[in-house]
Amino acid sequence: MLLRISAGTGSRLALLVGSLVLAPLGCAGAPVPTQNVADARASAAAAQAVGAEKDPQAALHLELANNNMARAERLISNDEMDAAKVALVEAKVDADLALKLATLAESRVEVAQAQERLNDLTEQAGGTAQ
Amino acid sequence: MKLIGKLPCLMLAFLPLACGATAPTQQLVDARRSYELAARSPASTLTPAQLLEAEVALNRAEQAHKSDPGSESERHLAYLAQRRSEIAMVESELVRSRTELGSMKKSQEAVTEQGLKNAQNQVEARDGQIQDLRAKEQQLNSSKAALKGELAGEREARLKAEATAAAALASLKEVAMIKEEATSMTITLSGSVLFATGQKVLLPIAKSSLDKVAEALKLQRQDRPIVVLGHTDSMGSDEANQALSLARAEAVREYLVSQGIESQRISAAGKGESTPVADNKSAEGRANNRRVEIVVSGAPTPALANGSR
Repeated sequence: MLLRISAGTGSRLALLVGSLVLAPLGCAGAPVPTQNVADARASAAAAQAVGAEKDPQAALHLELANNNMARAERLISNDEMDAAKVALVEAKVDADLALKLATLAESRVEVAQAQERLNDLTEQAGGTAQ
Repeated sequence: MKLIGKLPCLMLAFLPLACGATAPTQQLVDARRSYELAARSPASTLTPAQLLEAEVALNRAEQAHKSDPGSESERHLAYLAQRRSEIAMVESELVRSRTELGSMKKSQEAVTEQGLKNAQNQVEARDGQIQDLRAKEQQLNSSKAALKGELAGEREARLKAEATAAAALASLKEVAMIKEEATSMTITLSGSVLFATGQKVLLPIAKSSLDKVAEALKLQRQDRPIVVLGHTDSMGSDEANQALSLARAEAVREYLVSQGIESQRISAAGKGESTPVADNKSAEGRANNRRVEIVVSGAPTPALANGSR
């Protein structure tokens, strides 16, 4: 459920960032951490693309990333740019970990399939797979 | 090695505790433990760059702890350090998994290649068998054709031989009486055709008849023994008739041998007046009794060894 909420977080955050960037230049606050927003979003999207939601560990970290992005959204709205940047950096590192975990899970599935295929081939050839 | 390299850093981290300084945040404690795990894992050899990133991140967290213990900066940097350590470990697992996958694919290729080679060998072996069978079939067809030709030749030769034998027999029937039985054939020639009265020398005219007999005998199976039997009428003494019949049978035998009949196959015997075929009281009967019989029997040739001549 949280993931479902988080799925929209990236785009909402982007919209918010876009509007703040285009806000009057006369604002005295720190600049919006647009690069951090982009990095966190890209990492989360990459993790989702490899199926992070299907692996429990990867899903957990993707959820943490999305939570941090949601938090960053609120912080940016409150003009707390430094705190938002911290949240975004943590979101990115969680998304990166989710990506690696999902990739590893996928690789393990491939290994299992390859082992099964090797067993079949070896059986057909009349031997035993090593 | 890597872990040993980190020990000063770790010691530095615990130092403030000993001096009664502020305790590290839970985040930093977790980050240290995660790094330690990563440094002991295959990440140290498989993903050293990622492990180095984790080390740098942890050092920054330790520095933050040192300069501003329990701060948000310490917590944040420790959070990042912990994730970097986890990423390094996961990455090393991924490298290992991919290596394993590559190895399996190579094994699959090797097994597939071997399977293909085996199949190829089987196909070649079967091709060889097919070629052998075809060669044998061709050989059999050739033998069959040769045999067929041979049989046709034999059949033709047999028909020709039968025709020749029939012709010879027909010719013989013009001058002799032929009696064929299951195991023998008897050719009877009138004595008057062969010899003058009381003589044992063949008449010149007799030779023509005996030539036909010789031709017919040559066409018989070569293992059939032949006996020439001389017969007389009852005129004169038994002894004289016996001697005359034997002499006449001998004369006929010798002539037949001279015409190509094998001498060991043919014998002669005199029967005298002992086996008449007609009444000796009439001139016609006596003429019939004066005769020479040539008996071709089905008994084996060794019977000749008894020598009845």
